[in-house]
Amino acid sequence: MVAVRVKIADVSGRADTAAQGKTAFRAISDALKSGVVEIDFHGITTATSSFANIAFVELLSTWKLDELKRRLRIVNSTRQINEMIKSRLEREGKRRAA
Amino acid sequence: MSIRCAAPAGGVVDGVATATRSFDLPAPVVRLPYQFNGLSLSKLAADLAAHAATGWPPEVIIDFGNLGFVRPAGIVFLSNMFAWMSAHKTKITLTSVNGPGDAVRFLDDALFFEQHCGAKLRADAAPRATTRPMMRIAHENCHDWLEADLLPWLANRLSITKASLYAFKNCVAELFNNIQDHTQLEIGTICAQHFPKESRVYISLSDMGHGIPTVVRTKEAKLSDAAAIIKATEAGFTTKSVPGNQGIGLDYLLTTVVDRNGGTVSFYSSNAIVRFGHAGRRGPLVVPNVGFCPGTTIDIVLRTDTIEHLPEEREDLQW
Repeated sequence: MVAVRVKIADVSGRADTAAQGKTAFRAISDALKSGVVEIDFHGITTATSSFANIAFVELLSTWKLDELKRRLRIVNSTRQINEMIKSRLEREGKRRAA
Repeated sequence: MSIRCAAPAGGVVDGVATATRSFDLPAPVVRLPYQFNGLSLSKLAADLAAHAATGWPPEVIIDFGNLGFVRPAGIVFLSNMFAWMSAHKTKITLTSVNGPGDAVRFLDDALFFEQHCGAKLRADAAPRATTRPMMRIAHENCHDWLEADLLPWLANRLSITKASLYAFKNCVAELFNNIQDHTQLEIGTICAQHFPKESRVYISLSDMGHGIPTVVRTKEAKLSDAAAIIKATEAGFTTKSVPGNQGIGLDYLLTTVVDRNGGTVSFYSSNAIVRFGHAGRRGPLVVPNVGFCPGTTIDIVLRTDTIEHLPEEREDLQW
């Protein structure tokens, strides 16, 4: 399956604020309708919890965590960004499943 | 030498202050402590507040004559106090700024007088290599400052990759977002200083918002000031003032600085001082406070000898 690419630098500029997270959320949500999404963090160094809470955790309202893990590919990222996205999604995914 | 600062008109004025107060009362004099750090800032605020018991005075004289040493927490707090008084149209006059001590020179080099009085004390005053001059936290450009100023400066000071510092950078970004989430005010300041001999970096932020205890008590009404600060650091606790705030930022800060780096984080707000990382343990230490700290001041102390060195390589997330 061909992945739809969402480049965060082009979509929201940075990953610092909730407002940027909202812009990214819309782009990721639209792309998920087509299948697998490759989210490219090229040029971005860090992601705050405010960004991750909106851009990624809000996806759990539509998709289950396991499905998101199958459909989302995070590339050109940093350890900090990856740990933030993973920890926020897994914590909220478990909380909602409980 | 005396300097007249901030509101209503900035600028450096040599000689004795000529300002007169309304009501024919002498302007109150507030002396800065010898050691101006996180532990003494509440006392200064209390001294100022004592003069405002019958209304905020139109003029305040700040005496620098006793000041011997100032840490970043003192710088950012004093800067906020000046900004707050200026916003309230209080005339600020500084005295004894020409003493022999290095503290005033250090403040001058940190551009304190340029930012608040419109001019440096010494023509050759300039930021020291070990210091990032204090910066007002303007919400629209604070994240840019982190990326373009603090991060490269710290990486250069410590001779490590920027990637090694991304988690620390994000700690400050989380605090910027918290300030934006919980206060409408722009009165916030940040300052950083490297102490090579101590193998420590101090990063201090201060805002003049409602203060953590007041915000926490909108949800947990019965908590003391110290208990409210501790509550605010729990992962998942939030007053839900905005959707993006899920109560993660302060826990992230403590996990990164205290648990992983072995540093300390101290909170000064209302009547409480709470320190995390005391004696190598995350558990909070409630420090006896003297006075009242308006807003919130946070002191982050990083150990530079325990920072994990990471390569400047991009990576993909492995679920």
